[in-house]
Amino acid sequence: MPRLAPFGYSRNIVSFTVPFTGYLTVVAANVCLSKSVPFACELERVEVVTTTVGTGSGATRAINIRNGIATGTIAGTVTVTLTNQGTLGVVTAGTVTTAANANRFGAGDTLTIEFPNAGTAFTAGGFDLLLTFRDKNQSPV
Amino acid sequence: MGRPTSYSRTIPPLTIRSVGYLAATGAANLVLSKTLGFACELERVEAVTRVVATTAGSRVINIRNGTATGTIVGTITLAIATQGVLGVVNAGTVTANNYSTDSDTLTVEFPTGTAFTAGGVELLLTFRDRNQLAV
Repeated sequence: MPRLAPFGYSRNIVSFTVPFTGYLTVVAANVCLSKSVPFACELERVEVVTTTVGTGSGATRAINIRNGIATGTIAGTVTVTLTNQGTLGVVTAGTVTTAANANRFGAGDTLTIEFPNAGTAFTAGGFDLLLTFRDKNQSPV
Repeated sequence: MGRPTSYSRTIPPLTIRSVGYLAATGAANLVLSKTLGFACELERVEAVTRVVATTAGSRVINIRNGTATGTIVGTITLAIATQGVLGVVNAGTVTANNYSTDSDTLTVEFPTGTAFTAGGVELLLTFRDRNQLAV
């Protein structure tokens, strides 16, 4: 297990509710556009928890977690599919991009959660997007 | 005032809908075996009413360490008295076994109960953790 350390990380789990309408059809949409992150932190984990069972033939939608605006560097991604959205409560893990410190946010950076205009539409569905951030103790900006 | 070895907290809200949960009677999982990834303790369990329930029901929510049969670390009961008014905060209880390591998982489970005819809740779980290295 992680060793306790006075100068180690603390964690914060942020939840975003993603409904069907506006997101799970094939359309470009932002769950969160350029939210200021006024403290230095790193994206550690990206997960989806199904709150409404997904339906739709071959449905699949990708979600990008970006550092910056809707065209910023991708810090993480997760894909919801008909298969992983078929049961309430199931946790679908995404991936975090650590190469080139893509998952590291500076105190002046912003967070965007973006659905690109691609994939195959769901006809129903919904989930909570859980983002785990880790940060070290720091002074107020 | 903070201390270097004191706790930090995180409160991830989880959406609980009517369909499948409050307007149902069967067992269901809100979260099944989510990896925590860091050592922490469950400190508080609360439910905030977001959609008013219209018929008296009763649903228990168990917070478990592990799978749907893991140790219960917290519990809360939703009743019409608390689910009948928007914004009401309903406090649950946390048990003595509330510590989770980074390799443990979190499950939020509804056992069978009595259905409401509508309703909606934000479940707020407060976790406290001490500074620790990355996994």
